[in-house]
Amino acid sequence: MLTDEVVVLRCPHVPLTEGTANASIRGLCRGRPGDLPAELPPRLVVAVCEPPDPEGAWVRELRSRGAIEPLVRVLSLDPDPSSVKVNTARVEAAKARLLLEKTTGRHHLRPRWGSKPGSRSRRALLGLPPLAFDPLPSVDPAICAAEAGCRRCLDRCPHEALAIDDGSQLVLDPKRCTSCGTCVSVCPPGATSMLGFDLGGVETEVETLLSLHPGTAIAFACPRRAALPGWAVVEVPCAGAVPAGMLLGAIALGASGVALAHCGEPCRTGDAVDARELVASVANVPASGPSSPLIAFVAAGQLPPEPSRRPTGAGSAPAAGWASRPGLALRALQALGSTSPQARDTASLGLGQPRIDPATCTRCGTCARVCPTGAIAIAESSDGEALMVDHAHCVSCGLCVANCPERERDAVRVEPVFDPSAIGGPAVAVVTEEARCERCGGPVAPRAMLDRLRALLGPEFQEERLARLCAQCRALG
Amino acid sequence: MRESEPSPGVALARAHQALYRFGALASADRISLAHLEAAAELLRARIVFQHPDALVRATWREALELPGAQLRLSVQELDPSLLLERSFSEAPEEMLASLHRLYLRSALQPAGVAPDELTVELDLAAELCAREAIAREANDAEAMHQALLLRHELLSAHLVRWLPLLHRTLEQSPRDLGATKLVSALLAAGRFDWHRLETALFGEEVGGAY
Repeated sequence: MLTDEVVVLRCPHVPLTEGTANASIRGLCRGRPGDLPAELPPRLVVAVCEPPDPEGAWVRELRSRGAIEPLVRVLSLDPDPSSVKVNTARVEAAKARLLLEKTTGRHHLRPRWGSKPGSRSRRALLGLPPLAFDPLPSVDPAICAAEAGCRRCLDRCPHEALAIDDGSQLVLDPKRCTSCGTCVSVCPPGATSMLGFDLGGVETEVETLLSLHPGTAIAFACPRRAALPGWAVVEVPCAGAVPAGMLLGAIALGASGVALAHCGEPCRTGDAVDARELVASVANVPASGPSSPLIAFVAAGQLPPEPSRRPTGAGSAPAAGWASRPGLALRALQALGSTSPQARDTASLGLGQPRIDPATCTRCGTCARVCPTGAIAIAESSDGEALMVDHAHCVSCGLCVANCPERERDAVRVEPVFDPSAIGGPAVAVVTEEARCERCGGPVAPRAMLDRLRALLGPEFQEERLARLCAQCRALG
Repeated sequence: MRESEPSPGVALARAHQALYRFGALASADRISLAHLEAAAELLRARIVFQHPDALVRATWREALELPGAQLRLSVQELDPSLLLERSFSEAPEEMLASLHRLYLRSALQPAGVAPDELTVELDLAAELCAREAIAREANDAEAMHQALLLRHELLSAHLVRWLPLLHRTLEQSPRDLGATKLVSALLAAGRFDWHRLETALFGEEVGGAY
């Protein structure tokens, strides 16, 4: 069995287009599969008419044959023959997402033993096979912005499982982590990853689903949530970990409705307050026109309202990273006819607009160096170098403000606003005029920065040394 | 006549002994290709498919699909310092001192090799797995507990700390190194083993209700 393929198993009651499933297994929906293939790849889609017990023996059976638990997607599909198209779209979308998952040791799985640890003797416990596996997040320090002062994952982790060590590296305490995935969805540069929850994979699933079956209503829910009839469930580790961009992006891509479904207590992120607030913020966005989509928070034990199947958005092609970055969310707001959501809404949606004050900015470029999403960048312009700002990439993390040497003079700030006129792409904020070396003509430093140093240092400013020669010519003496 | 089956605990300890030992062989100098390929075949046929963690199975299968020559970490175009823990440590002297104490408590002393070489640390892990298996077979709870404590310390303070850094360094290499897959497999096995020991020794409930 190849390890880079996805196998689809279905129960005989689920109608799918021919060739979509690799095998039809009797008893799969009751958790008593009859004739499973002897060997399975790590990635598996299980299409059933009703979801079997997620902790049942059948999961152990899949695992023993090669499936990796976070890479098993159980889709509860409609047994009605008229649902063949949407069922097939959901299976294909889940397959597309799983294909992006790589099974390497970069990922971290935590075995979960069947009995409460400590309730058995040491000897008996050692002999027990683990009952289940939970993925744990891992961080790529090469991308992580912790050194620049980013603390988003720490601030948002509901269980205080993350800390920063002496060397500004992020450290995870596996004992506290509940694998909710919040740290993955809030990380501005995408440095955190978790097996089975890759934001790029979720984007692919939503895009595939809506391209194969436009107008599908999408519910984001964890595997413990009961079936949601009429809604296509996109699995996430916890509803509380879904970012605003994911909801708004799905709307922009043409979903007729989006829902966040809470599984009930105990929830991995706590009591789903964040999810509730997020839905309230998104639903609060003033919508105009007849095509407003349904946006719902579905509490545990409740059923969501029946969605329509009318596509609402333009279905425009998104750029990569739309779930975590606000580009598509902003386009969705624009498509919804929103012109000025309240400030508190934009803040909770993670939207912001960087503003640079040309009068106080010294063009030192620190903000561009620390910006984890490229919302502030240095680019060539017709007049030299320029600081560019891009509303569609700003996640309102505030690192530019925290690291700005001129923050006391408000050289850079992030406003919690939505400006539809500013989402077309990067715009020049300030142009950097360079002082030139008197000897070789090369760049010395931004003129505004030298002026500021002159003002700060007064007579101690070494004109000859700092302002007239470039670094190379200074070294030559 | 059939051989009697080992208990699950013994089987798991022996399986980890084999995985660590293979990693030690692959990262050691002067190991013949024939020996390494024979060991790989043994792992493929007898060990890997029995492991309870599917990620461990998947990563080892992927690594063992490589031709034998690509499994030898020592002969690949790697900077030799990458196979030393001190290269990834912020306080190498303290790290070496703690490793030295660990060897002493294990009644072992690496001779003629650096104690923080990957091959030596993996050999120690394999040796401690073997002690666990022997103690369990002999019904010697005290010896088993001692072996588990030492292995837990080796994993948490050393192997499970620096293997991810080594893996990331190899992953970022522009060349497609076979070593990346082997280190990936060793890391998955080491992490599983660490979780198992953590729960067994300290009985801590991990991740709240999850």
